Amino acid sequence: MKIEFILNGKEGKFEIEPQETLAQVLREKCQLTGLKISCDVQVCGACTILVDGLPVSSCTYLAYEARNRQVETIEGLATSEGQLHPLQQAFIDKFAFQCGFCTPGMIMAAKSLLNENKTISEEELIHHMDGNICRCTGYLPIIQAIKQAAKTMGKIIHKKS
Amino acid sequence: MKTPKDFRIVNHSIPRIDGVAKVTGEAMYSGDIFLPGMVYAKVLRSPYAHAHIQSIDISEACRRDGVIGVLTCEDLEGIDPYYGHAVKDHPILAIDKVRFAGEPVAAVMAINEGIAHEALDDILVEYEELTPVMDVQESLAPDSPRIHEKTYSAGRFRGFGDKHTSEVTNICQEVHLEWGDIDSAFSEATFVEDQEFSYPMAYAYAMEPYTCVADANKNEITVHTCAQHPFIVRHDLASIFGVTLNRVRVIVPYVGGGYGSKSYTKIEPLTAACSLHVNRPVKLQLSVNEAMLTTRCDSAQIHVRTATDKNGNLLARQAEIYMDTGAYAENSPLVCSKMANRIVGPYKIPNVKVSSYAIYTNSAPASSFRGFGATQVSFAAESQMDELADQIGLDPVEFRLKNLAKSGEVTHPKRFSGSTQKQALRGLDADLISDLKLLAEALHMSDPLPENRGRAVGCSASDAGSKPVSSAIVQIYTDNSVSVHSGTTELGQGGHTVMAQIAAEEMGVDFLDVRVVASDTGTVPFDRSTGASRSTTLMGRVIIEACRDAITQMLEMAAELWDISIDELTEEVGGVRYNKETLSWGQILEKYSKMSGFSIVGRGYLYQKGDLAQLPPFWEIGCAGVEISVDQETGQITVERLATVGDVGLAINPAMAEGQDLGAATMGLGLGLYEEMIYEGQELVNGSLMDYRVPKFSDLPKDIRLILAQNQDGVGPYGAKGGGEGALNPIPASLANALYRATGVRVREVPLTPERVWRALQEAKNKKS
Repeated sequence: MKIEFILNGKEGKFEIEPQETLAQVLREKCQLTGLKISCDVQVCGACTILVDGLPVSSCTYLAYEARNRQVETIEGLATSEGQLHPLQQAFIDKFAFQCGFCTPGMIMAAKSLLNENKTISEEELIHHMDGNICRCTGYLPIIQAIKQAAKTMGKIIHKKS
Repeated sequence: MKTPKDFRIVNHSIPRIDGVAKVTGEAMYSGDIFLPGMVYAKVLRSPYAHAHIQSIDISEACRRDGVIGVLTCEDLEGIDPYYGHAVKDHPILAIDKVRFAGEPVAAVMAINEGIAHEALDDILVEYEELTPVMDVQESLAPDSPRIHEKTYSAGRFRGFGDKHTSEVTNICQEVHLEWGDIDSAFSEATFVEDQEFSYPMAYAYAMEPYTCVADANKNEITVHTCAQHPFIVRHDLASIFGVTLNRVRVIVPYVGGGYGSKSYTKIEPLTAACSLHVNRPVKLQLSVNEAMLTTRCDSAQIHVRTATDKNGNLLARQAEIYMDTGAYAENSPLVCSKMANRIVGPYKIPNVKVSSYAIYTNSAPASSFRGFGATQVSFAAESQMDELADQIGLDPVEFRLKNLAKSGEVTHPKRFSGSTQKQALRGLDADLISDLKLLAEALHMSDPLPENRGRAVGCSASDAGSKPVSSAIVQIYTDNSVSVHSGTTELGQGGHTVMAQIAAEEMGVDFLDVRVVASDTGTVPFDRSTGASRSTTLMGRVIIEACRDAITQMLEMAAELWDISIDELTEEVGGVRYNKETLSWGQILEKYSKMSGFSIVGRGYLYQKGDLAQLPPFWEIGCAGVEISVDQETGQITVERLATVGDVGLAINPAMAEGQDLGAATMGLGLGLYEEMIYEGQELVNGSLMDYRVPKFSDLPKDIRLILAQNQDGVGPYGAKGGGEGALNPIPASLANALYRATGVRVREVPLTPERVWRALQEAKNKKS
């Protein structure tokens, strides 16, 4: 079947199978391989992308459900001139990844948090990110990176909720 | 030797060379490779732990639309279907018999993964069930069924000196270690502790499950794979398929985590056999469940006795270690040997006797896992150190300080004839006494403890670095840019960044002018492996040598250009000076060759000789501890504080070295608190991330102290030595020891799940009342 959705700001038409996940369509048909498949059961967050600004696990989200929506992947974050998003820059500055397999999902999850809120408590930050697993870093540098990006983006992160 | 004030690039926390690629999604992993004409493979796995295969009927699967071919053991004729770098016992697909539930029996290739998956149901396999052997006790029983009914030849990378046994038993490997006189030492001892400890099977959960894309024909085999050791995979593929080494190309793009679980050969032979069978490129990507059934860590039951004199000086240690190695040897023979060495710890113990056994069972194969046996045995040994300290009446930190080997002291002397390995090991190349003092201070060990809180520290020393055989090539171009051609695979540990830092430092160019060409056996020279924390130390040294080789050549060129002798030249950063004239390396190359775009090649080789003749190349130090609080109602442990001391000689990149320590320690918290692969009967019952719990954001310790000790006392570049595993090893014991401090309850089995802790607390209460 044919569906349409907006992919990283551009309207697109996609030929899909009804049972195909959004992850399959993006990785195999759109060559957007930034999102990763790891647990495949909506636990690890490596496949996180944004649909209408909200984080979804694309490994278990049918491509059909994305019709007429805004889909955003890691590839859409930097500007076409290569200017990195504040989160991307902060992840580099704070050594917030090692193997990098969780990183695209991690950054997209963090982006939805920062986009939606002006002020965020540390507890909310951890609660929001708890569905994204990183096996390399021990999380602390990721939290530091998200805080740095929040600051760059004019958001406020405070100790208590 | 250069000291930190001399460095331009080394010893600085320079942002990672793979940074932009990894934050933009551009970084390519094996699963991101799509070759023209590529088809997808799925694996049919045995539902039984132990069974004869009576027949396999693939006819229906072959008829399904979209199926390109089906591979079974019958198609393996004409090749050597067994692999295994330690023992060649592992068939690419089960031959006649299956030895664990989850063992590959057949593979379907189809135009997409969905069809391949569905076609698995079309394959009919008849099994005759055999009695499964599910644990070490069953396996060692006199009338136990044999898991392997014939003997196999030794693999070409056994990694340690002993001969491979040729007897058919369920003992995959045994290792014996002995020095001093254990019997008289125990009879003269004042204090003795004697306990049994248990460490579970665990899953490394590299977030990228095993993935391989193979393109093979009769003459050449190319695989793109997530292997830590591409050159050993190349060797195995060449021997399996009967081709020469130069006709096998193993390409390792970015790897989504390894932690030891991607060391040695995994799914590459099967994927290559699939590709040969259908004459097309084939992608095989495993699920997490399949990855758990591919490699896990060896569980261990450890019986250890330790004795001291009346003053608390260690006199003797005796241990028997039984590992559940699963159905195939993989790297467990070497893990078995390392467990024997590492249970001694970084202490001076004059009398030692250790026997370590790797036992075959009908469970998923075990192999390397970050820590490499040290985590298992440190749990036992460091728990016992605290128990001994209590019995003697010494503070646990004081007791350790009293017995730690000093820098340069030999902990593993020449062994007795009954020992499997005979040579003495290198003296300790670390100042653990200072490290432990730093750690104790960071954890406020001497402060009074609030209620339900406990603190504990632990130490370990691992004979690390594997065999010191590596090589590298450096190229420098007329525009002063530099390429480093290195076999170090980028698993996330930051190997590429470190190599670029070292090359930039040595060549006197900017960090961003260095490019790392890595881990393609078609374009980089031999490196034994990326594991055992060896790359910074050994590959780093070779890169310095390759840079010096290039510089020597350019000095000769400059001398010839100026028509002077080399002694009259002065080396500067990035070039050379004669009188007041300066030439950059690039200018020398262009003037000498009269050719723009020219480059020269510098070579570096490293062998087990000179200062690397004695093994291990270095000791990897573990020095870490925790403060926890315990909820007595629920048994829940919360980590209030974590501290690590990374004794790395010199941190080439301090932020990355600290990152390794935090990552390793966090893995230790997972293993100590939640992680365990659970078998019920023949089957793994928690084979998914739904049921296998790893540390999450919300588990982060409330306070984290990461300390680096940089005494420049390693054999690596500028005195560096390896890190990345050490901070893991003492954590499970520290958790158990801290639990004891908090509650007075001793648990000698990990993980310390709320249920296990709660039960132990209840039992203690019932005993009291």
